[in-house]
This record gives sequence, structure tokens and C-alpha cells, in this order.
Amino acid sequence: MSDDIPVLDVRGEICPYPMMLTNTELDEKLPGVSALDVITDHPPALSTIPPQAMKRGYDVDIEEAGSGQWRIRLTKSAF
Amino acid sequence: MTGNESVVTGDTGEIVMDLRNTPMPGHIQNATKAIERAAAGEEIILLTDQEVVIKYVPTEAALQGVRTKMSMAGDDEWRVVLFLGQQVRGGEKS
Repeated sequence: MSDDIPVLDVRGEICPYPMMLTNTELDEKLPGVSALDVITDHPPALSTIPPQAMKRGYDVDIEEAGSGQWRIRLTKSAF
Repeated sequence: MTGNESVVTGDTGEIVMDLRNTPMPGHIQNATKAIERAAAGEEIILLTDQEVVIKYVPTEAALQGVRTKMSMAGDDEWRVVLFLGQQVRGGEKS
């Protein structure tokens, strides 16, 4: 995980909070950020965060980052 | 396969499954098969025009150890890449 990419750790949070916290990060705390790593241990968040992020112009890369947790890397899309 | 979908092999061996214009439920059935194929070691590229696919696939894929990359491919179209991720046990990649 690159040190240059900010990390939003939402482990312990359940829906809808992982998605809401991610949207707040992208819209208010880090508007226009080029990349953001979201760490979650709540599988349903893998279905709620990506559509919202893609609507905001981000590509999504979901990778297992530990036992029962995942890293969702959001990268500003060139599209 | 269930009808309108197109499946071709890309230049680097990946399977490209074009589900655009494929009606439900075949659309989601083929997406499910794609996850299974990715879990078995193939790289699958899905092209979809159904938003439900980008909500359904990531969770199902993650639970099978499949890594998912997604991006917009056009207005109301998405590109989903599925491939076997590195297995992680106890927080350490093996």
C-alpha cells in the first residue's frame, strides 16, 4: 500500500456507514483526491461503495487485504 | 451461455464476456459463471450495461478470493475485470 494514498479505515462499521463515510471523504474532506484506499471488513460495503465512487469518476480495485477484510482502492478515472 | 452474450479471447489470453444487451436473468447468471471461472484461475473481462452487476459481483467475487477491478466504459456501461487474487491468511499474503 502506497504511503502517498490516503486511507479511510471503516473496519467495524456496517452499512450504510462505510459508503456514507466514503462519500463524505470524496465530497467534503478530500474533494478531487486522485486516489483513496478504503479498508473494510463488511462484505456488503463492497457492493455499496463502488457504484457511488464510479458515479464520482473513480475506478475501483477491490483486493483482499487480510483475513476477512478488503482494500478498495479508488483511483480518479481517465474516462 | 444464454443467448445474446458474446465471448471472445483477448490478445493476452483473457476472456472477454460481453453481456451488454443480454436480458435478465441470463445476464446475472453469466456474471456468476464468470466469477466461478475467475476463481478457477482465468482472467475474465465483463462488459455490462446492468448496474445491478456492479453491485452484485464485487461481494460474491471477494468471498471467493477473486479480485475485482471496475470502471465506467461509457454511459451506463461498465467494465469489470475478475482474476484470482493473492490468497491472504491471517493478514499475511502467502
